[in-house]
Amino acid sequence: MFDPGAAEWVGYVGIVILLGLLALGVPIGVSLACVALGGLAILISPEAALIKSGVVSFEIATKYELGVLPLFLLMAHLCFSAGASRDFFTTAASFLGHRRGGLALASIAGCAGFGAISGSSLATVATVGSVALPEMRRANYEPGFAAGALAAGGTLGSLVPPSGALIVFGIIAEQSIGQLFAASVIPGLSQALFYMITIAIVCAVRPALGPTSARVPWRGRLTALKHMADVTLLIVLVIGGLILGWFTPTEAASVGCLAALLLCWFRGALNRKAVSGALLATLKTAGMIYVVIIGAILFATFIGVTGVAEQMAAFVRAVDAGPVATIVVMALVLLVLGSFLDGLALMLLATPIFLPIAQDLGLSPIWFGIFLVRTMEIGFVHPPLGLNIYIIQGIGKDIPVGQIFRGVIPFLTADFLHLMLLIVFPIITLWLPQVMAR
Amino acid sequence: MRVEIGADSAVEATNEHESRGWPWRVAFAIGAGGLTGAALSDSIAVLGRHVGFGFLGSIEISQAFVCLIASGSILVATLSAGHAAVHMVTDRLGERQKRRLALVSDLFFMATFAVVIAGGFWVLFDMWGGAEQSELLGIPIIPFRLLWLSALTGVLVSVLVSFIKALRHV
Repeated sequence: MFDPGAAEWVGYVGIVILLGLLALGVPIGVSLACVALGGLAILISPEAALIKSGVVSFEIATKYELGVLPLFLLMAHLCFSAGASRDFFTTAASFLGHRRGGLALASIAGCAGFGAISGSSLATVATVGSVALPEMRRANYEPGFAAGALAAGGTLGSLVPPSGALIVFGIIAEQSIGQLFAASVIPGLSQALFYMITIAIVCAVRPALGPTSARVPWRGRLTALKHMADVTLLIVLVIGGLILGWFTPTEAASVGCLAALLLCWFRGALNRKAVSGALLATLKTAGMIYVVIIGAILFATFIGVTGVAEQMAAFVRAVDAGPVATIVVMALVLLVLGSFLDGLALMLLATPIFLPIAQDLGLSPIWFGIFLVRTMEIGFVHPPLGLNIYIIQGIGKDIPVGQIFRGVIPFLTADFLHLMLLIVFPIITLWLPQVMAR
Repeated sequence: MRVEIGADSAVEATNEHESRGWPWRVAFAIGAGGLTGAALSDSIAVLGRHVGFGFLGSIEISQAFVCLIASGSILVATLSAGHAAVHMVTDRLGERQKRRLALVSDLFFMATFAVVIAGGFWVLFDMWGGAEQSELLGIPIIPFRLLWLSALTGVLVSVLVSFIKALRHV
């Protein structure tokens, strides 16, 4: 058996090696598994590492709860095939476009609605951005402001249910995915509200940033509303049914797939090409996620064996800074790490280390999941990485990256205020899961 | 490959599978079968629960389909070179250095998968004589272990083939 005092050092060296492997471009799941297996071989025995890898990989491959992710992905791809991607933005734009900053407000609503199908930040910003950015530019919106609103709005896709990030967190932290989804509803809605208030304030101070557009007559608005009624019904059925306890998350995803097939049929888009395209896109993403989750579970086991998390928790107890100060420090560490690590890698690295500390402080793991995803989201828009910024730049190629980063600053301010609100008032996150549990 | 969990908005080239070889078609068929089966069995279970007939062992059936999804998808993702990696450093390098690092990455990939496959076979041999099966329906587990290990071996072979091809160009 390895000297317990040195086990923590193996843990720290493992984390450094992990960062090195990630920087070399080794796939995230492989980097995590590689470090974990090497560490377990040193700390316990090579035989134990070998057996653990065999046990974990098959457990993940047959985990019923993990079926939720590919099934929600399939639901989303079927909805895309049905052409439901644009509906939320076009409907919101018909209602709000004639107001100052109205199209930017509509893009936030569009991102929130689309996020409820896709569960992904990058997909949300790419899809809503491709529709909303040209529209805003035609309406003479300042390009940096328009792109900034979309980049920030896109992050809603990671938080609103069925969030892929929350599903992965639920699997690796062994938390209820249904409760995580319920916990994300109010933070997601309040985040959208914060962005909308930001747009209203910015446009009130500098009206030239978001000029008004022509008013859409009520007939046009009602037509747009009618057009998105079916996809709205699908989201209400899936998310509502899940929160009301009609079905488990995996069942919700399965019902969602069948409802999405019906949506394709209803819209005349049900054909072999559309279905096989949706299946293919789903399998590609799901395969990538399986490798990542196997690596993450092995890495969490390794971190558990090293005692790194316990050592950090003991340090936090010794400092006696209190939960809020500790969480603020955690948020700062995550934001710094988020400057050079992608969201997924950041979450997989942080969960096994920070979650035990949060639990040691008496914080709910469900709350921690929302906090982690919310902090991870900020990484999608803050420099230097800010993936959403580069996606938007790919759509509006003539808008310099610097201009988009400047445009996103007001939304980053809103993000920090919103994050502080979630930290100081955990009830915002925990109220709905508590109601659900009754 | 950008790193994120969720559906990609850009709907993939839908005829892609028609231009691939048989391993890819087999992997696609297994994964697609798993997705369809899991969606159907869970939906029937929900319907049954709400109209008053029980679907005994629906979770065990879904678990079997989930294994098909995992086995098919891990192969499809690898054959499509779709594994998530961080490219912040590598994107700043020249083409030659990028290719060399990709080879290093492949070596780590193969070594890790070799260990996972060896571990899987170790567990398989331990379980071989034990008539491992599910609790309610008695579904035998060994065929699913074999399927999963075949998929992992397929992944390893696929990376090895692309490694050998890439080695010729460095």
